[in-house]
Formats: sequence, structure tokens, C-alpha cells
Amino acid sequence: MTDPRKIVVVGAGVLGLGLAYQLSKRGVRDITVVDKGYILSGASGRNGGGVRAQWTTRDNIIMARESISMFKGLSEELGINNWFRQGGYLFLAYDDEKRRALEKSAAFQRQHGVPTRMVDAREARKIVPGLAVEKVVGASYNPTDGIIFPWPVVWGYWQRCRERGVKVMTGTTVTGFGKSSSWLYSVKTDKGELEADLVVNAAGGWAKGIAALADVKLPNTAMRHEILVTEPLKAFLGPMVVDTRNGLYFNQVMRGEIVAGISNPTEKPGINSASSLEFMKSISKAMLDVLPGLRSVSVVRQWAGLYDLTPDGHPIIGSTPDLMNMYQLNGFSGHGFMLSPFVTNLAADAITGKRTALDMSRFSLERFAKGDVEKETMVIG
Amino acid sequence: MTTPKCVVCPCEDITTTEIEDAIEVGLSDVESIKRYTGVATGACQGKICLPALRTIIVSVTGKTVDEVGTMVHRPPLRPVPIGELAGEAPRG
Repeated sequence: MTDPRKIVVVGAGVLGLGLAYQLSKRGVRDITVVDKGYILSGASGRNGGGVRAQWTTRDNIIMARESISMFKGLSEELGINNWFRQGGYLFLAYDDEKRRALEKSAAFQRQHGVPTRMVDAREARKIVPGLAVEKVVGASYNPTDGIIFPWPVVWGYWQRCRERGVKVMTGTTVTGFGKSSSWLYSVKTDKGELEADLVVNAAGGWAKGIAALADVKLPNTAMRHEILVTEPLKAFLGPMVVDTRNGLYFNQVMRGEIVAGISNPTEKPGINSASSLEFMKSISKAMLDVLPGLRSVSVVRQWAGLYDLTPDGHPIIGSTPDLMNMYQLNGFSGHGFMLSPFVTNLAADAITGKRTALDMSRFSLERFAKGDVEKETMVIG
Repeated sequence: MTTPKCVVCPCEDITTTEIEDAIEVGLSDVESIKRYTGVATGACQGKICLPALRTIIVSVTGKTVDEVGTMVHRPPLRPVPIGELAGEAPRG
């Protein structure tokens, strides 16, 4: 791709702002980021902060492994504290089939330099004191996985972007595009029209709708995902604990609180951030089944955010067929924050014509039409 | 009016100075300042601090109360033990 001079990024989440920051560092001078909400109003401000390299595909493992490494230096670079804590991720198996699947993925992760190993119930209980292990038949554990606090990371990108002259327009809704048959030349918003040589769609759960304004069809599905947070407790929990039967996950964040979410097989697609009592009841039962000692811990808040799901659980990163100057950076399927350090560098390299660290064709929108997909099976939620 | 040691949010120990710092970097609404400072994210979920927070933002920025906005209130109304949410009888 030849160097575009004016870039408009739609979406001021960790991906949109992170990309703007990386583009700016690569010498792009005219960058505007627009968002219809406030900073952190979308999934970047609503996710649980989990960062893990325990995935089943090569690309996800590599992107996560590199991101974990980059999160370590990000606080210093952005002038913030991301509160990164590497307490590991512990995936609990309750039947032999699941245990074998975890063994297989752990071996694959080790091939790619991620030190995941299998532990038995006894060791799992050493890692998580009080864990109910009667029904546990094994677990995979990667001690280098961890957790960050998403909020300061996004503020750090926001502040460094503004210092570098990136214009960030919050409360600004994209209403359409100035468009010829194969080219976008402007982004129309309720605050005026912005000229563009390149438009980046980093709108998360709203990406499908933004693409539709340019007559582009994305295969993405927005899906609500609910989370809760408890009162703060003295530090006691090392890893993110994942129950592979129901997609329950919980960890203790650096503020001392337990943050927890769970898969909901009955969730309907659509843009919805309402809170449900059903979630509170089902996740509470699931948490007590795994860590009974939590029964007296109080929940102080529940909320919801959007997963931007793709059919194969991998993001869409790259130009759009028949509309080459619309760049997709979406479809992160619930793991966009944890991949953001690596991916924003990757996309910025691709956009500025630099050599990319991974083969970008694997993330193309065309892959779905070609049927050239490898599905990630460790997506939770 | 304010002093450096004046606490707005007793749950999270957020002072008026921290709110003023958030305003200084360009924020002027409750939802943003909540996420920048952590104000109103503790046990009370804004029930103690929200009026003071809005008053400070209004007085420093000159914006109206409506422009400053409020925050989305989410369940539960008060902290509830996980055991009770799971359907166990309340203890004590």
C-alpha cells in the first residue's frame, strides 16, 4: 500500500487509538479518530482485561505471545500504569475429551514458545487455594498469561496521540461516506465531512454497521457479553480461572476485585448492553461450583459490552475488496484488547508499506468467500 | 474552594485535585472522568460521590449540569453476596 496522507479512523477504542498512535510514529501526519461515544464507552472499556496466549491457532498464539511481551513495556512507553500482572490462566477440564483437547493445544502452544503445561487436580488446587477439584480431571496452565487494567492503556494512547497531533473527535457519529464506485474520498459525520485517503473501520461491535454505510458487507456478528465485579479483597488469586464446561472465567484484578464473565449460549445477536438478573444468577452458581469460598463476597456492579464475532474467531485486518482504501480492523471476537499491542503495529506496518511480521492474507475479508479459514476453538463468551 | 486533600470519593480515595487534573487534560463529563480517575467505581457505585463530582465539574468547567451528565447506574442497588445471588439463604 502506498503511503496515504490523510487517514480517518472510525472507533476510538484500543485498536483505533493504538493504530493512530503507531501510524503517527511511522510518520503519518494527518490522522483523525472519530467515535460516536466517549473514550472507553465501547468494548475497550468493558472487557475483563485478560491477556493470554492459550489459543488453538498459530496466528492467535503468536499475536498473543508478542502482545504479552509488549504489554510489559507499554506502561513506560505510554506514560501510564497498565497494572499488568502475570498470574497465568488455568483452563479446567472436567472430562477426558476436554483434557485431551487442552493437552493438544498446550503442546501446540509450546511449539510456539508459550510455556503452557498440563497440571493435575492437586496442582491446580495449589495454584488456586480453595478450588473445588473433585470433578476436575486436569487443567492447562500458562504462567505467562495475565491481566491488565484496560482503562489506563486507552487513556495513554489517547494522550500520546493528541500530543503527536492526532485529532480525536468523540461524540461524533459517522453518517455516511463520500464514495465513488471503488473509492472512499470522505467520511461524513454529524460534525462535518472529513476528507480521507484511507478510512479505517475499527468500530468493534458497530463495525458491521459502519461497513454497511459504504455498501460493504462484513460477516461479523455483534453479541452482548455480560461481566460483574465484586468488592475488593486482599490478594489471594493468581491466575484467571476458566471453567471449560460453561465458559466461566474469573480473576482478581490489581484493584483487588474479582471480575467474572461467562458464556451465554442463549444470547441473541445484536447491539445490546442491558444488564440481566439471569446472568447474575447463573454466573454466581457457576462461580461457587468452582470456588465455593466466594459465597460471602459481594457483587457491586454488573455491566455488558459487545463481542464483534467473526465466523472463524480471527480478526479482519486489511483492505476491502472493490473498495481498496477502506481498511478493516475489526472482528476481534472478544480478544481484541489482548492482541492490540501487536496488531496495531502489524496494521500500521501494512498501511505504511512496511514489511509485516505475519502474512496478512490470513486476516483478509476475502478468506470467508474463499472458505480458507481455520476456526479458533478457545473463544470464551 | 478546593484543597489538595479534599476527598470526593471515599470508596476509592479520589481527591478533588484528581478530578481537576482530569478536567485539565480536557475531560468534562461524568462518564469520562469516572474512567480517567476511578471515581464512583467503588462499593457505593457513586451514591456518595456523584453529587459532589458533578458540582466540581460544573464549577470548574462552567458547563451546565446536563452537559456534565451523570453515569449509568447498574445493578445491584447495593452489594449482594454471590451466595445469595446463587439462591442460597442469606447468612447471619
